[in-house]
Amino acid sequence: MEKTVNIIRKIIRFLVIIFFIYMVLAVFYQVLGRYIFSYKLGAAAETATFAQIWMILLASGIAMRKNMHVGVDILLRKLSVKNQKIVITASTIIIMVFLIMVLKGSVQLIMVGAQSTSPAISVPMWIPYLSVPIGIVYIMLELMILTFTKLKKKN
Amino acid sequence: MALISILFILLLIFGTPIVFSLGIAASFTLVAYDIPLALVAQRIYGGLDKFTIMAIPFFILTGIIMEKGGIAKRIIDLATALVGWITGSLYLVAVVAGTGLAAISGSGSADTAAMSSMMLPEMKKRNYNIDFAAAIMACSGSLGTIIPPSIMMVVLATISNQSVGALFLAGIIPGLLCTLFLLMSGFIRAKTNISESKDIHHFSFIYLIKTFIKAIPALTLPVIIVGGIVGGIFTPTEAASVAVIAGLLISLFIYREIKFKDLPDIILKAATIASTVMLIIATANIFSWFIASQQIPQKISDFMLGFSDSKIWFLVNVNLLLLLIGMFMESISAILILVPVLMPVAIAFGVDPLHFGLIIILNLSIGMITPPYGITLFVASSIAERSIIDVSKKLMLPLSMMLLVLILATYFPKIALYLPTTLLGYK
Repeated sequence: MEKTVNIIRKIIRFLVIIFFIYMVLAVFYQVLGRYIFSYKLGAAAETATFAQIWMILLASGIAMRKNMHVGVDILLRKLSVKNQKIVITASTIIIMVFLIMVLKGSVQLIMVGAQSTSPAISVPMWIPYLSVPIGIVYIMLELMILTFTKLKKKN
Repeated sequence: MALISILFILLLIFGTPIVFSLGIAASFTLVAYDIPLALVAQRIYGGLDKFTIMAIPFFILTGIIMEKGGIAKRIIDLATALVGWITGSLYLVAVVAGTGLAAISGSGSADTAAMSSMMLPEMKKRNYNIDFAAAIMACSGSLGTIIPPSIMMVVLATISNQSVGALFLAGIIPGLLCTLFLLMSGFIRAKTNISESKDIHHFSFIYLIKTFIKAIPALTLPVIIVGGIVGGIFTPTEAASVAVIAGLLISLFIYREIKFKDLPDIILKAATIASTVMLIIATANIFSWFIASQQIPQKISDFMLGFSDSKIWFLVNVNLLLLLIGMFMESISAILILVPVLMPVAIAFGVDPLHFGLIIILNLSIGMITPPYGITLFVASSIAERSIIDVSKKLMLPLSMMLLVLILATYFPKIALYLPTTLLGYK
């Protein structure tokens, strides 16, 4: 189980870095393209934006693991440990319901996207849309792990 | 509707990450109205499907490269040579360095971290009042979001359909006014506490020239970013990508403080920080749609216009509201929640949208300094190894200077609008 999670994390980290590097280079290439090669590159902006969507959705799970998604937790810290655990559990359940809703919605989105292609380079739209369910599933995984660690601690 | 508001507030005060509180409140309502879930996914996707917001990860990456790659150090050295000989030297150095870093990085916390970790040990050694030092670092760090480039401005301009470049320019004069007033506060502190300022060394022209030459590569960054955008050479996103490449080249080959093997960790760190900001943009994209569909801005403006149609009355109320919210909420989340509500109201009161945008930026930059939740205050205090309460006690003087700039910029729209009007032909 732990081994599988670690492999998933490694793959996600690798993809995030690759997407980020691609974004920087594609936009830089677009600038060069305009001033040095003097031709327009709609493809660079479009593919960089797709890379951005993938990168953000995948990196959100990493941020979840590091507990970096900010909230207003002044009140939470004032509660007793027992009540804190109740609140954390309740909030995790509600977040999970939300994520499942998005997941379900993203499957519908992909079905619609299967028929259309992107404007500049005609990429089938399910390729960028696929980032939503995959990102959401990874966020769910890290959320579950984080919540269990939080509940185990502090006793 | 009432149920959803209660749910949203409950989630918020019990520490559910804002990114989810926003998404949950909006999606649960949409479901109640039988709107297909595909639309919720579509709004999240659409929130990220924007070329302009790509400036955010790039500016975050530039900030980290600046901090780790020796660029911040050269800027601080130059600031020391420039103002280190005046009474209250290191307080003033902090303000000037903060201004310099602000012109490279787009986030207040990165600037505060870079300055505090490099300057506070030296200030401790020289017997400076460490609480006041941390307070002035927190204030100077917040310049990062007022002086371009600014991540907060990219977010605000994107969600209110304004030009990022125009908002960047609008921040320059108010930002420099903050610098000026903060310098005064450092000077006043040093004059009234003579024991802290007796370490003055003399002005040295040779030292200034030396540090300036070393800082030249670092100084090309603000020229590329601000100059490139003002000159119409690049869009802000393009300028940000050029800044990443230039910053990397400078750190790898000129200052040689970053090695190739450090890059994956730096990129991953930038990506993770960027994701926390941008996922909020994505879920706020569901929320803003929900706000608009409920006609909430119209209801608020009708309500407020019922009292008075005075612009100033409205702006005073907004300033008070934003200062209060800034105490408790992270700035970018606050922008994403409040701008869709407040911007249409401001326009109904006849406030210029760009001017209003800048007022919001100033308020929420001050919100990064004010306790209990202020990110630059938090960073400066923790690096100073002092409690937030101790540092907050010394915050009065520099903070009142920032508030003064806020008041000036609120009553005199020209302070914000002069540069966008003359340089970009705004309106």
